[in-house]
This record gives sequence, C-alpha cells and structure tokens, in this order.
Amino acid sequence: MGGDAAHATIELPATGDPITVAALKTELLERLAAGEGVRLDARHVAEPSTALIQTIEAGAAAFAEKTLSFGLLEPSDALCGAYETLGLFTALMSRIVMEV
Amino acid sequence: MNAEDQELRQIFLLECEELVTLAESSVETLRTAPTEDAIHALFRAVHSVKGGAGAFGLDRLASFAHVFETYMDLLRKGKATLDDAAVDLLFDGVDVLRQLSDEARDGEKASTQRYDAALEALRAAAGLEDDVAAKPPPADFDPMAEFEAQMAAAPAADEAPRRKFKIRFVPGPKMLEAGIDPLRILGVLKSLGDLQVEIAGQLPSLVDLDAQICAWSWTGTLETAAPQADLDDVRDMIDDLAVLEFEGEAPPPAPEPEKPATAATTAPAPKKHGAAPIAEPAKPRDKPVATVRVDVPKLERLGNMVGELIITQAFLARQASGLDPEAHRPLFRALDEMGQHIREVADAATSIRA
Repeated sequence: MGGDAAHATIELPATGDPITVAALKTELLERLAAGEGVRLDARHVAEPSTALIQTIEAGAAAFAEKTLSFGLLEPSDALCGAYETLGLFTALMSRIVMEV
Repeated sequence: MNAEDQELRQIFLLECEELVTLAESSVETLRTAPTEDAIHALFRAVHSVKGGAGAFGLDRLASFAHVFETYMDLLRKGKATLDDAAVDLLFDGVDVLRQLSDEARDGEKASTQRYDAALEALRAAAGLEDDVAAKPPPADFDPMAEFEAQMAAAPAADEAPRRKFKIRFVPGPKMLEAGIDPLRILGVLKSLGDLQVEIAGQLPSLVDLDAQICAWSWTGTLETAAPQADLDDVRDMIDDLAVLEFEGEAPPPAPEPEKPATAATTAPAPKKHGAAPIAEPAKPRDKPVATVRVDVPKLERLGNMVGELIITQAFLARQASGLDPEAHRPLFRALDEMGQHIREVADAATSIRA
C-alpha cells in the first residue's frame, strides 16, 4: 500500500460474475489513472469467483506499482474462504485495512 | 490457417491415428478378455480425440467423439452393459473414428453411410436425444451447481482408509468461459478431505488482464477417504477444460531385486562398513544405453499431456493471430519458441511410444 492521502471506496459486488468483474476492472483503471488509492468494501461479497479475485490481485499489483494505497475493508467470510481455497490467504492478510 | 497452425494440425492428426489404434486395441481386449483398464484406456483415447478435434475445428470428428465418449462414460460407470452387441458397437465406433481421422488428413469426405449409422446407434445407446449436442445452454446455465449438489450429497466415507494424492490443477483458457470456476473445483476437492495447495502463475497487468482466463495453476496434496469414483467425477466435470492430475502416494520402496546371474561373475566391489555390495560402475565407453521400465498407462498419459499442449498452443496461436505482430513482438517470439519446444516434446514422446 502506498502513502497517498486520498482514496476512493469501491463496493465490491455480491457476485463475481463476468459483468460485475469487468465493471470492477474499469473502475480500478479509472482510479489508477486519476492517481487515487482505493479501498474495496468487501463486506457484501457472497459469491466470489476466480475472476473477481484475479481482478482484485491484478489491481493490488497495479496500485502498488504506482505507490497508491489499495486495501480490502471487512472482507466477508465468503471472500476470505475463497482466498484461502485458492492458496492466497497470505495475500489476503496483506490487503486487509482497517477503516479509520 | 497459417503454417504453424497447419503443422500443429498435422501433429494432432498423427496423434489421432495413434489414439485410434490404441482404441482399436482396447476394443479388441474388451472382446477377448474385458478389463476395466481397457474400458478406461478406450475412454481416454476417445476423449483425447474429441479435445483435439474440437481445438482444430474438425467438427464431424469432434461431434462423433463426443457421442462416443458419452457412451463410454456409461460403460465405465457400469451404467451400460458390456455385451457382444456393445463390443460390436464399439468396433463400429472406432472404425468411424478412423474414417473421420483419415478424412481430416486427406481432405476427402468419406461416405456418410457408416458415420450416420454408427452415430445413430451410439446416440441411442448413450440415451442422447438427437439434438442434445446442438442445443445451446440457457443464459443462466450454471454447470457447477448440480455437480456441487451431487458431490455434497455423496455419502461420507469416514470408515474408508484415507489416501494421500499429489495434485496438479492447471485450468485451460476456456474453463471460466465454460462456466467452470477453478475456485469451485478446488472447493469441491476441499469438501472431499484435507486439501493443501500452493498457487503458481503470474497475473497479467490490470490493463491486460482478461479475468475470464485463469492465469493461475495449483499443486498440492489431497488427503481423502473419498472413493476413486468421486475423484473421477471431478475430472469428468472438468472434461478437457483443464488438467487435473491425482498422483497416488508412492508405495514403500520395493526390496532390491536379485542381481542378475551375470553379476555374480563380475568381480565384487570392496565392501564399506558392512554395506551391501555395490557394483563397480562401468566405464562410460562400456556403458550401454540406460533404460527404465515405464508402465504403459504412464506413457499414455504423457501422450495425452502432449496432445493437450498442442491443443493449447493452437488456441494461443489462434488468439494471437488477431494481434499486430510488431506491437506484440515479445509475445510472438515466445509463441514461436513455445511451438518449437512443443514440437520437440511431441517428437520425443512419439519416439518413446514407438
């Protein structure tokens, strides 16, 4: 995570279907272009998917490259379980941020 | 089709001939002394033909192999009886596979009479409606949902001995598009026992990411008491959309085989602290070509894996054909190199099986 002061909050979709995942990618790219960090509000994710987690992880790398902040707020049990199932639990731990 | 695709297609057609020959041999075994191994070998051969034919746009071959494979699936699960009539049907099916394979190679369309008759008979035996294959799935089709419910409903096998498998799971490029999410496949495996996986693979940058193509793969272990049929069901669910391997726990080392009689005539090596005699290594110039014994199924698996590589290479080449070679020079160079390596692997695998 970078040290930028400004960040936007994006609410992650409940379902990681292709349409919502594509929309998330677009939104992340827009924030990236604007030089804004992001918080992904992950409390409502009920049916995560590999595509959703790939997008989150690719986003994390892109924001880190530009030293912009990137974090997950209150990931739901479903999202935590999905990260763990994919073998990405350590990555998840490094993404979780607390709301201030 | 560019020259490289054409070459890959030729390699597949050679592979296809071998698979059909293997299928013929399996059917012959089923006629004389039926074994489960022969049924599985025939299923795998037909399955591989289907996958490759689909990737190279050989629609008649792919469609026929699909129906054939569906019938074979019933046989291997004991849901259809392997009697004389079934064996005759399998022979007819393999004959038509050969005919279609020749047709694809020679470009001359063969008579459709046998094709139609065998296809109709296999469809009837497999319980397929005429238009099942042609019907597109509904928009909200979730192929995983029914499967997950079926696996969850399977009786627990707590009393059965637990076995530990090494697993390797490599999703193919069309897996997500087909509605099969690797996350859910791993979830099903997790429900079968203790699953420990490590993830590998490099995600593209966010800009380049196509989230509907899984960039990751997994290796790890699965310790489970689930019956083999459950593992087979997971593999069947994936079909040819991914590679999913279960490698059984290595058995304890076998006792040292007795030295061949000729060894007794050679001078014994000096003993070291009471250890077993160690034969003096031969000088390099005297050393014969080293050989190892490999189970035929392992060689078949190698062949199948090479086939999968060729299919994936063809897919990648097709995807890349729409890109500007100048703008994506490193990608095209990597594709060229990969194609070269795959051809070498295919040649080596073919020479092993010869």
